[in-house]
Amino acid sequence: MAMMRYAEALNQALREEMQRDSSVFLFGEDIGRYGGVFKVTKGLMDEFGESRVRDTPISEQALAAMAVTASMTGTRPVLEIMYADFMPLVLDALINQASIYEYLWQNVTMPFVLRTQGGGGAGAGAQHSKSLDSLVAHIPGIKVVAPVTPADAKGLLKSAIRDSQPVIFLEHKLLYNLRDEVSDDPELLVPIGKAKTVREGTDVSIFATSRMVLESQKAAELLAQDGISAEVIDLRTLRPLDLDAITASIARTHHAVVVNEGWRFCGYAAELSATIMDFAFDNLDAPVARVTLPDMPVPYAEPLELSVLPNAARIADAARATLK
Amino acid sequence: MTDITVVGAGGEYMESVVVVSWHKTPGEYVAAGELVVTVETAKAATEIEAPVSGILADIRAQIGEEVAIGTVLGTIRDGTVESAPATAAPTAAAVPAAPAAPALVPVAPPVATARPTRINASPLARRIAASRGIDLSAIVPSSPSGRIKLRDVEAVDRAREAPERHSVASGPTSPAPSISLTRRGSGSRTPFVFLHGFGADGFSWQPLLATLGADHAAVLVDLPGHGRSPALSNAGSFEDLASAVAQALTETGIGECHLVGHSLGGGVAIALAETGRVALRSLTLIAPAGLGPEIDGDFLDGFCRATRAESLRPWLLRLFADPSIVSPGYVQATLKARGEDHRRAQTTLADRLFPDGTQAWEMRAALRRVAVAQKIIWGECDRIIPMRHALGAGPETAIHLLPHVGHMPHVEAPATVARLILQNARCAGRNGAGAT
Repeated sequence: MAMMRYAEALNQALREEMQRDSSVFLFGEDIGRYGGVFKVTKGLMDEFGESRVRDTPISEQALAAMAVTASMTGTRPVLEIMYADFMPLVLDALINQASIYEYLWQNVTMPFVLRTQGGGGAGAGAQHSKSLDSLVAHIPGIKVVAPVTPADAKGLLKSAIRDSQPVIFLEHKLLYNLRDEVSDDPELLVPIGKAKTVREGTDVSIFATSRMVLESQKAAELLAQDGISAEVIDLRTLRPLDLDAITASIARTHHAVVVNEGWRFCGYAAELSATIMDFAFDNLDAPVARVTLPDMPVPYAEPLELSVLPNAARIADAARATLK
Repeated sequence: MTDITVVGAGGEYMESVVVVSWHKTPGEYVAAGELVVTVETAKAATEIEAPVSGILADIRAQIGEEVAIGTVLGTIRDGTVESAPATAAPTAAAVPAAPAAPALVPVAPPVATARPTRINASPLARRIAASRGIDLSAIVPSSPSGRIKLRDVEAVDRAREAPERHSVASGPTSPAPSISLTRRGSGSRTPFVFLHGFGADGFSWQPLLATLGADHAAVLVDLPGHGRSPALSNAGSFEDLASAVAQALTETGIGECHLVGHSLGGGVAIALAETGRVALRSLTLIAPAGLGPEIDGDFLDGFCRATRAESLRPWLLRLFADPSIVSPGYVQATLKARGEDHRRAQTTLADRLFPDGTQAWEMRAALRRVAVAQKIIWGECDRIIPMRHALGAGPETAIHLLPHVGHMPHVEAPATVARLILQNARCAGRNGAGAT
């Protein structure tokens, strides 16, 4: 075990997988010489050379199509898209290529990973702060993960690289400096599709991913002061969902709060809410509560930005309301 | 006989249509190409023309009915007019028939007339109640949402299992003081229970009752040591008074109510809510005590000491924004309503609840635990308890500030206060299972 930052854990995962499997290669904007804007790929070009760590021009649409086609030829590409806000540019490759080629041609696999980072709270403005989870989680045939801890970041990235299907790996710009214990074991994987209970409770279940897990944990602390016992489930994988973990938790608490940093309307929280009603309706003692960004751009000014982002207080309020 | 059908008329994605209207009645002549029936697809209304000339023989798809594409909507038989009295010889021309007897079935689908109101309950509460044989319609929801939750079902279950234990546990150990309750009206909805302020009595709600309407009965409580209720010898807190009121209400069979409390009665109302012995549907507090330390100690002292009209009048004036209310008759009536025993009892009570001109009992936390629709009404010119105390309420409490009104909003602005009380009751009952 070693203490390391989230960004370092990702770096270690990439290094280990590149050492293990020579078909793994990285490409993206500024990931080589510069080491990535968030330094996730730092030092990898020196170690693995320019053919396995490639700097590319700014052309997300072409890059995503390259990831799809390169993976079809037997390599395992890991593409970095600098900001999740630019994901709309790659959607054609995901929706009209990655999602359907296996269906059209059968003998095709596309074992590529698309890493990107999103989210607000960094004063990055309306064009660099979005959480577009629902855009990618909407697409069948594509897995989507969003870990919050350095250990899960490493373990899930390794699983993603080894997976035979396309995996979107969602990071958060405020998590890169988060430090925690991470295993040195290069074979320690975190399975895709498994949620993790990060706090046990009996009164209300809070479901979240990525940075919202941290806010949910803080919310659980606030609720504990009121004598409310909140269970916090880190879904870790947005798709495929760990339905067993979700329904088991609601069977205990009968109340659900779903948290997502993206927009509310047609958002990931809406999908979670509907799924809970599909599979746990008769265990619900109150409607599922949603905590999301309002349907608006993320403001640049700090006080305004903080006023719209989901946070512990709002999550706690939502939990209290469902319990009334 | 020729069928009238709809075939792909609305576009390639159409699977079914809804019949909007028939333009002919059975027996009526229709010419080929003439509009005979209008159907609605997901996209638009489509007019179906008669495929042949003839008599509309029957209508098989009624208005409002959804039918699949290809369904026979009706039929047209050969002929020119309805076979009618033999004197009416058929003509070859397209003669519209005399209005035939309407053959249409009622337009709207038969909406059940006695459809029971759906009970608002959570899926879990519904499931558990069904498994334990509990009738949801008898449950009053405790949630402000008006939705029956698991805890409400479990409460019924518990009460059913141990009814005696329940009443013993919640009753006071001391013998019941006799509290005077006056019932006004006989409305069928959940009654209002009114708790008056310090030094007043149930009669003080009189101006408000006139505008409260007849849907709800009003139960006017005389708090201990006020009106027709004897003093409670050891009353030292809102809780003591609330306990006595709860017992009186329970004995009278008032298990649930909309609670209204003014000033001292407001503090008692919050304490009553805390006991859980009476199911509250809504809570309306008027310039309530218990939400902060300040209170006009001079008023309390002067009011308690006053035994004559001259000494009482200046203090009564302090209660109102409009001095004209404090007429000589009003002063005399107040004086008479309070005998010497009550004056002493009230002095003792004031000294315990509000020692040294300070509200010694804090009810803010208790108020925040109250989980029913709640309003606070305060006069902006209140000189007895500062209206800023309203800010101690939780975020779900509506605060109504009345301009040009003092400490007695229910006397100075009875219509407004009555309207707010009714609003609160309606709000509580909107999603409620039972009658409000």
